[in-house]
Amino acid sequence: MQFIPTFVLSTLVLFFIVQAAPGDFLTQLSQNPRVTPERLAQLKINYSLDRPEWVQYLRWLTNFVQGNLGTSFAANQPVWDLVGPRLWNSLILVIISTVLTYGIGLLVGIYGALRPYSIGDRIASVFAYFGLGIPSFFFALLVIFGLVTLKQNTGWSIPITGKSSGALQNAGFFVSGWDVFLHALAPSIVLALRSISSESRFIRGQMLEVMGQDYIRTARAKGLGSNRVTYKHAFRNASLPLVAGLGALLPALIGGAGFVEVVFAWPGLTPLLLDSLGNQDLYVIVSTTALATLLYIVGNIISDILLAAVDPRIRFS
Amino acid sequence: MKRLIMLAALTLGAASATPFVHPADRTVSKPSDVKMGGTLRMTVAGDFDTYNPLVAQGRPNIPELTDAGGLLGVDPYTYEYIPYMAQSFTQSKDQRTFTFTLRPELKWSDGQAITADDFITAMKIYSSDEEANLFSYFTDGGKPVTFKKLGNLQLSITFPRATVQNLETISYITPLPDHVFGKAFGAGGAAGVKAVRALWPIDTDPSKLVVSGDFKVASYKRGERLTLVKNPYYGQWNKDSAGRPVPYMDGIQYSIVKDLNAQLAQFLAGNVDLFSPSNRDQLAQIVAAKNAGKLAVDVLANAGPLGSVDYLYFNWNKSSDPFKQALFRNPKFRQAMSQLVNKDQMIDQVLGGLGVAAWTSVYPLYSDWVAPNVDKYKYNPAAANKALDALGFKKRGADGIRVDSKGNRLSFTLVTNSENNRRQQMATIFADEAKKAGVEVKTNFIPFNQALEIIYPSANKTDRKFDAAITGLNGGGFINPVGVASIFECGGDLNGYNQSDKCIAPWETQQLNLFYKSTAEFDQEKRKAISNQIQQLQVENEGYIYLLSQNGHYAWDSRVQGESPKKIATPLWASLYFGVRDLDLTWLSK
Repeated sequence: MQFIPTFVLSTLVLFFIVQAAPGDFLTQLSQNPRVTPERLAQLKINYSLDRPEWVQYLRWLTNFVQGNLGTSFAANQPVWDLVGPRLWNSLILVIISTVLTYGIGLLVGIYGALRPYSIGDRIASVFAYFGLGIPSFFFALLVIFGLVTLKQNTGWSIPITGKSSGALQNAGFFVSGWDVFLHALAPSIVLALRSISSESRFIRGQMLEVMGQDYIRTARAKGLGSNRVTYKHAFRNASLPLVAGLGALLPALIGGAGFVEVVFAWPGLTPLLLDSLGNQDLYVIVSTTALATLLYIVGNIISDILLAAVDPRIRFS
Repeated sequence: MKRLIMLAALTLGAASATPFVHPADRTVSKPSDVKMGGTLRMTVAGDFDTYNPLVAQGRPNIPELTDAGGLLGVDPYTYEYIPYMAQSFTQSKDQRTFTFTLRPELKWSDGQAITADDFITAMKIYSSDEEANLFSYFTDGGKPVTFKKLGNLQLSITFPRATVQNLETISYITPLPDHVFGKAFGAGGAAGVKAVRALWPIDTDPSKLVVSGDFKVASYKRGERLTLVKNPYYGQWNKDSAGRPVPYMDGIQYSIVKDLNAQLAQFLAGNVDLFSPSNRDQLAQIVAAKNAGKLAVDVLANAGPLGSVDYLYFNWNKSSDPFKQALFRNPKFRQAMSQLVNKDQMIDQVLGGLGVAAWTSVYPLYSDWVAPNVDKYKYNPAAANKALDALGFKKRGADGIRVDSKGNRLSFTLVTNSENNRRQQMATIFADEAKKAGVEVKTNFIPFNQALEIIYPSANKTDRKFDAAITGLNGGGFINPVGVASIFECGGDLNGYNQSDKCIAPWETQQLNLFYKSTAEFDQEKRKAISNQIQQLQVENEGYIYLLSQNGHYAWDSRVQGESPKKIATPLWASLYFGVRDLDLTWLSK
């Protein structure tokens, strides 16, 4: 139940920071010839802007809790209508990149721990450092360059930007789904690269540490099979900090997909947020950031549950 | 008998039917080569904000992409205005009144006939809505343009004065569907304007939209794609030289790709059909791919300077800051600033050498019209320093910035739009040069629509919030290339330096009077002489400090056919969106 005060406190701080900025969205709107004085007056009443800020906050919070995120002034649409599809789009990238991260990162990490300083481990280390060192947006540009070269030289067409093919306007669910997956592949790989690098190094280190523990030696001495020792005993314990970090994944879809979405013209949340900052579309900014906070809280709850599932010492009372 | 008369009328109507025929010399393709169908694939940098032609700002915008045009078109070979939506037109002896007969086949995308009512409604709205782009065209010297319905397909337009630009103005007037806009406009007035401006926001169901152009909106997904499909009614009054309906293509798709590098990548991968390289690097990448046989594209490089220009200007309406207002209004200050603009460096560094310096409101594209000796205040830092000394900014502070005897620092903020790298780079080059001369120029890059709202506020025009800006103009006519009224009028829609309704400097009034004189001068040589006088005033006073025009380059996937013949494949006749081609005559080979 801690999440309620956490959410309230964080949104309160957020709301007041946004309000503390010079002017408000109506100041900016009053410069817009498309917004009439009547509309401004109506908006003032809608958002209780003539009231004290704490009343405004309560009003916003009540609306937010009821699923009303306010109205985007640039798009003249409810914020949720803008954010909903974008959230889902960002989720697609995060889901695919997470699967790649854990699928590849864990295998590489475990391999490195089982055969430390072997040629394979060294090669993996080099790639990991490369992955950690190169900024995502730059890697994204390199990938785009690679895909263009691939298309020019071989004719293989892997989607470069956007979320769907223009040719598939009215395709069925599965065809469209596959098309979206193909479009998501390049940005997801770019997104996953850094995480694969860090997770593989992390799990390698954890595994090496655990593999040197007495209970592993005992298990081996008792004649347990190598795979059983590695995966049931060593990996399970080594992965605990990894599971604890899973909570950061959900909010990462707002901050993490970031510029990769911009470079690949992926219609996710970051391009929307950047546009909103540019347009000073403040309710999109406040509500989206509040959603990120919510996701962070939900992510933490999920990690707690997962941690309890893998660590027998943790039990909810 | 009644039936007989009706039948006779119908037969007469059918016999006089004359669709617009696209002449054969507008395309390199023979009608027999043409394949029908296919979808043109394009990219666009940002989302669209409305379907409403009265509200749409920025370019491209959906209304502009889906309207047919106006009563008149232009023959690019003869530079003469020819009937387009009008079947024919006549001009009165005093050259002020034009009478039009519309083509009987004209139809909206919902199948309703386009009639005189649609043009009359449009003109009523354009002349009532002060924020409409065409508003300023409906008055001349304070007198209104009048228009009259003469019949279902007949109308007349009367201008207060006979000017060379009247035909051009008429060509800009696009009809609005009377059964939608006329209905909402009602009795007119402020309430009518408000009602029509509220029509067709971006969440409108596209099937409810009524357009006149060759393509109509099928769907629009924010952040993803705008899909246009062929408007079948358009082909009923638009035919190719073989008599077939146009357009040939089934549709157009605009993918929204914000990043210019990603747009180029899509073209280089063969996923996008048209691309206009804006600098040497982009051009080089395309040509390299083509020469290596990796990409089947056609390239038309350096087709000439574009019909556009970028310029820098200072805000003369800053009543809340008298120091800056006085400074910005001082021509000596602006002349000094002009001498800090290193155009050669800008062309070299920003455009890779592929551009031309601009000096006056005449685009370098119309080189015959650029007045002689217009580079009076060209780059000359020594002269600029001297001028700034003379203005009283002699001392330099600890930061190297000049101050006057009252302690005012010579510092201002230069805004330009964040979507435009070219303008940002020019702003930075200018700021660097200015700093060397002891002038602090802080740059601020903000989104285009926001910049427009700051530069052209609807209220409080005598106290605008910016110091200086770089924006630009494109479009404009070839009849009198010196400009349009809204640039020269004090408070005119496009007058960036003076938005107050009063002229501040005497030369503004002089310039405006000369402009009115030029528009009434039908002799081209005399008109050119007046244009030269206007340009001399501009050069001397530097209301706008003109920067440069970039050269136009066009590239298209080889599957896109039907471009313009070489003689008219220049930036003068090229479309802003589709390059050196008429979309109606464009076809796809695969």
